[in-house]
Amino acid sequence: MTTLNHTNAPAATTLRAHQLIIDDRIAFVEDWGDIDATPLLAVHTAGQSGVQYRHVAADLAALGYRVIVPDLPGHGRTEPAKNGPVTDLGEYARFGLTVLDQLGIDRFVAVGCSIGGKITIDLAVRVGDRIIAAIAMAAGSRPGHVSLRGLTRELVDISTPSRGDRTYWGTRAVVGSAIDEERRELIARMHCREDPIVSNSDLIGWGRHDVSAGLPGVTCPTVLVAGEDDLWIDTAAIRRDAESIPRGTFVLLPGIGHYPMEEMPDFAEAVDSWVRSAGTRGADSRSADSRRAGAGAVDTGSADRRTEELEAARS
Amino acid sequence: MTTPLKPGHRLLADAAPLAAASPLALADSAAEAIGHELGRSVRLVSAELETNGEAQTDDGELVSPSAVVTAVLPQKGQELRTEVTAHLEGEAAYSASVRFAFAEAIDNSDDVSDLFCPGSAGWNSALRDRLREDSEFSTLIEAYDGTIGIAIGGRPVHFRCYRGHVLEVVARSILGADFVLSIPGDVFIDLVTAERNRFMETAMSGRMRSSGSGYEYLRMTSALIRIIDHARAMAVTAGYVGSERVLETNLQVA
Repeated sequence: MTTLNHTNAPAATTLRAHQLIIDDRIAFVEDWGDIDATPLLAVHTAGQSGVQYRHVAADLAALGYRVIVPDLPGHGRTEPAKNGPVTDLGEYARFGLTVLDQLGIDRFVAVGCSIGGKITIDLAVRVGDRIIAAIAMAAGSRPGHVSLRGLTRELVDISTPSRGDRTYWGTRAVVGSAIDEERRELIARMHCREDPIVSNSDLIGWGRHDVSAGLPGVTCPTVLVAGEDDLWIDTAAIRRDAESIPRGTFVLLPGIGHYPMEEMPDFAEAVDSWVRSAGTRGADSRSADSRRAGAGAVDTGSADRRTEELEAARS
Repeated sequence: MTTPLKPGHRLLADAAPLAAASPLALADSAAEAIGHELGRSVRLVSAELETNGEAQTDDGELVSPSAVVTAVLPQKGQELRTEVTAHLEGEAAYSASVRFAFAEAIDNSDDVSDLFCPGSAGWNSALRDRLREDSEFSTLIEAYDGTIGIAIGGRPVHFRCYRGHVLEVVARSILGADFVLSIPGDVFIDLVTAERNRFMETAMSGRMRSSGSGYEYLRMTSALIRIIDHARAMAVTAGYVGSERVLETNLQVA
């Protein structure tokens, strides 16, 4: 185990890092905060890594969480899966549980964004009895709207012209309108670090994964979070998902896009408030909770927007 | 004659909602309202209607109209053509857009800037001059031998390029374009008058359509964004209504 001093938030946390062996491959896991604090598993988006939580992990730790941030197989500093790039998000869910098991963690808060959000919903369906609260951002339970044919073709390098440009511009396009240019630029540049094959495989998983049938059986409090400016998601469908979960809540974030943990300066406080209210909430308090100032607003029926153009170009 | 309207001018802002009717009847009502608002001796010369597939609105449903001027150009010597896109939004499911063109007699076509019509010969020439002076655009097309195509409100613009050089910007190149990105006139007005260049958001929202080589289209992603940057600067120069929102540092590709 390596111990690093966190330099961004003064004296707030110590960052530990683990190299675990999972399926004969090295898995890299950041571990922030007091070891006896409430465990919180934070799952990144397609093609990215745990670095997406670099600004908020210390803040969450300061609020009383032990923040476990794995790099999924093939991402960041985790070695690729033995059987090649993963296209089944259920494999990532099992990977996350193995990380927690190896660290001796039973009950935990699950937080994830985009494919990480789908993985979070998967975990809620799979092991809801172990989850204190599930916070799934920018994701629904049904397959996302992508062209599987186009994505599969783009696993071959010759089929991916200007991939870097498209990642850069496409990322900028789904950062929320409330975010300033400097942060928008930083988010987009960081996202260009992706491995294209792994990223495409993740998106194939995004387009296939479906745990909608399991929503009525979810036992843990679950908060589905959508950014108002997120062009990747079907906000209305996510709201319906929240209504299908017995202790489900829907939160709409004005001015925020597809990456709340990278966009929101008060992300940790928002997560903490969602977790605290989710733990005490009944299924019938959905609207009141999601109207809290600073933590989102009830969706008023955002347009069902699609990524048609990019999909068409890829198909 | 009165002063020509500029692209970006909004019409029907204070118009009363229209009563439910057939799509053609609603379009006719919108045309009449726009003609009345133009307040001149205009006559309708064309109308192109597209609905969202809802054939009829419900009885009693109200339909809200809005419209924007997308192009203004002199033609046939002493005549002014004003192109307007109207949107009709029902309270329930119905929506439609109508591309209108109105004509009126004018005394002197010199009063009308070439830049008021995206895709006109004068507009194309001004854009060509800007692109030729832009070393960054040259870099973006350094490895390109082909023709970028866009269509603005149905008006084709071909950018013939070779090894970083813009050979010509014209309505139709000799061998045609490798691909064409079709941008509705009102969408183009939104693009060039928004605070920042929202090309990718517009593409991802399905408000533009590409045809031809998808691979060359994707390869030219940044070049297209740069073209829109220049179109935005030209809109500011020409004084499009709403272009005052455009930030000074409007060149996105750097």
